[in-house]
Amino acid sequence: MFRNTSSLIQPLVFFIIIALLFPFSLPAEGELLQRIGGGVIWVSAVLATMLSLESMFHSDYQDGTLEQMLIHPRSLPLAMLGKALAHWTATGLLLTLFSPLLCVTFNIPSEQIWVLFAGPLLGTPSLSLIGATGAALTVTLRRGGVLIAIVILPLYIPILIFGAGMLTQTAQGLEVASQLYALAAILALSITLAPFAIAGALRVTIN
Amino acid sequence: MSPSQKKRFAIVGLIIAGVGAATFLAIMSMQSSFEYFKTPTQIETEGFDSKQTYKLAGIVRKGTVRRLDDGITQRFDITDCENDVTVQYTGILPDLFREGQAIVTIGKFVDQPMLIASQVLAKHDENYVPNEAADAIMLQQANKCDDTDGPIKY
Amino acid sequence: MQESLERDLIDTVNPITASWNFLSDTYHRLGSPREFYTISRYTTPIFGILFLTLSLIGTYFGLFVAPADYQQGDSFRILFVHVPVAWMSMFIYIVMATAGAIGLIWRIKMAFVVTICSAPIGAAFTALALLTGSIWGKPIWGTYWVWDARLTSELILLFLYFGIMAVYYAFEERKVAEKATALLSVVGVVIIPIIHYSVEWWSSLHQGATVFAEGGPKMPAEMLLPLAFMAVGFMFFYGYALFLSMQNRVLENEHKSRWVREMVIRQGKNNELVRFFLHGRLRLRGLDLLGFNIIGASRICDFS
Repeated sequence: MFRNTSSLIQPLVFFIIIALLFPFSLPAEGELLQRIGGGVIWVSAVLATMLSLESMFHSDYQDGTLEQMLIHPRSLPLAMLGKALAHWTATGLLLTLFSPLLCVTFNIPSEQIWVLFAGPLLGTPSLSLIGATGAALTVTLRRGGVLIAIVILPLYIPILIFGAGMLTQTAQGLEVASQLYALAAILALSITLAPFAIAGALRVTIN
Repeated sequence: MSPSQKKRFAIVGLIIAGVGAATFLAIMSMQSSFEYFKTPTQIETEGFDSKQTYKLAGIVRKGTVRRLDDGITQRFDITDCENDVTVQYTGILPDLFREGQAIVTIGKFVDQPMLIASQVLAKHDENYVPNEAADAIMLQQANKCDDTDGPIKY
Repeated sequence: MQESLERDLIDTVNPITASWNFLSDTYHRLGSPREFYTISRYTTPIFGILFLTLSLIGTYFGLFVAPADYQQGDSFRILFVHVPVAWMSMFIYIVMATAGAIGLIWRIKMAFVVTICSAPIGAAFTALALLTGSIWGKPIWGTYWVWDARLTSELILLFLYFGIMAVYYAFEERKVAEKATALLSVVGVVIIPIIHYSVEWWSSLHQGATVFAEGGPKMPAEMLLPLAFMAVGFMFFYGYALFLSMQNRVLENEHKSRWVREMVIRQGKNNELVRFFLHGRLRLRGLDLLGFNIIGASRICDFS
C-alpha cells in the first residue's frame, strides 16, 4: 500500500478537491454552506474511498501475489481483513484526520467538529471493508471502476445516512448516540462478515 | 477435535461474537431512536432554534382550524394530547387533513412559538375501515384527546 | 420378516414420508437442467392460468366489491396492487439470495439460473412498488416522495437488483459470472430485515404493517380477501415469468448438449429461427429485456 506514495496522496487530494468544489459552485452564503457542509464532506469521503478501491487488488492480481494468497494455507479471510484495514489506514484514516480541517471552509461551528471526526472514524472502516468486497468481485475485469460504483454505492447509503444524520442532529443540539451506535453496529457486522465475502469473491473470480 | 475442526469452531465462534456485538449495538441505537419527525412535547422540553427546519408531527386539535383573511392561509394547533404547537400554512392541504388526523408539518419557527410550515403531509395510519363506519370513527378520532391524558402515539 | 414387512408398509403408507420422498425427488430432478426443462414445460402454463384467474378475481373484488375506505375513499384501492407488489419485491430477493447460497454451497447449476432469472423480475416488482406507492402518496400524504426509512430502503433494494444484474453481465465467463452474482445477492440480503422493520424502528411517514400486524389484520375481511387473491396471483406470476425465463436460459446454457440439439431437430427442421438456433445463437432480438428473456423466446421450440 505504501509502496508508492501516489496511492496514498491521490485519494486525499481528490477528497479535498471534491469537497472544495462545493463552496466554489454554490452561492456564497455562510448559512447554506454550514447546512450542507457535513453531507458534502461525507459524500466526498465516499467518492474518494471508491476511487482508490479499483487499485486495491489490482497490482496483487497482476503480479500473481493474489493467486499465491489463494493457495497459501494461511486463512484467506484473515489476510483479507488485514488488506482491508491497510486500505483504510491509507484512505479512511487520512480522510478522517483531514475532515475537521475542511470544517473551516464550511463555517461549521467548532463545537460540532468532533462529530466530523468521530463519525468518519467509525464509518470509514466499513466503507473500506464493504468496498473491498466489490473490488474483489471486479478484480479480473479490465474496466471494473463503474461496476464497483453500481455494486457498492447502494450498500454505502446506510453509512452515509447515519454519518450525515449525526451532523443534522448536532446542529439542532441533539444527542447523536443513536447514530454512533448504528455506525458501530455496521462496523461490527462488516468486520465479522466482509472478510469472508472478500475471500469468497476472490475465490469465485480468480480461477 | 482435529486441527481443522478446531479452526472451524473458532471461526464460527468469532462470527457469532461479531454478529452478537452488531445486534447489541443496533439495539442500543434503536433505543435512542432517530426519527423522521418530532412531537410537540419534544419541542416543549427541548425548545427550538429559529434557524433550524423542523419536521413536527401530531394530530390536529379539535376546533382550532381557522382560515386567515387572505383566504389561503390556515392556522391550526397540532398536539400529542399533552402539548400543543400552533402551525401556519399557506397552500392546499392534503385531502386527508381534518380534525383528529395525524399529520407531519415541515417548516421553521420564526421568533415565536408558531411553526411556519412549508409543507403539510398527512400521516396515514395502518387501519382500513369501510365507509359505513366512517362517521363514528371520525367522531372518535376528533375526540381522541378527550379520553386520554398522556402523550399518544401516532 | 414380519417386522420388515411392517416397516415397508409404514414407509409406503406414511403420508409424511411419501410426500417427503416426492419433494426430495422433485428437488433433485429440478436440479438437472434437462429434467427442469421437461417439468417446467407443463407447470409454466398452469402458473400463467392461475395468475390470470386469481388476479382477475382479485381485481374484480378489489374494484367493485370491497367497500371504499372511510378516509381515503376509492384511492385506497391502489393498495391491492401496491402491497402485493411490495411483498413480492422482498420475497423474490429472499428466493434469489437463498438460491444463490444453495448454488455456492452445493454447486447446483440450476440454483444459479434461479438467481439470475429472478433479478430482473424482482427489479420490476420493486420499481412497480415504488411507482404505485408514489401515485398513492400524492393524494393521501400530499407528496410523491419523502426520504423516510421505508421508502429509502426500498429504493436501495432497487439499486441492489440493478447491481446484481450489472455484475452478471460484466463477466465474460459464464461460470464466474454466476458465482459472482450469487455472492453479491447473498451479501445484499441484509437489506430485507431493514425494509421490513423500518416502519417500526424509525418513526416514518409510511404506515406500519396492516395485514401482519400484532393482534390480527387491521382491515375488514372484504378488503383482505381481494388483497389475498392478488398476492397469491402475483406469486404465480413470479413462478410463470421465472420459469419462462429459466427455460430460455437453460436452452442457451445447454445449447451444445445433445438433448437440446435433438429436441430442436425433432421439433422443427425447417424453421428459420431454429436453424439460427442450431448455429448456437438463441436470443431473439426485441423479446430480450436487458438480455433476460421474460416472455416469449422459450417458445422457440414450438415453431414447426
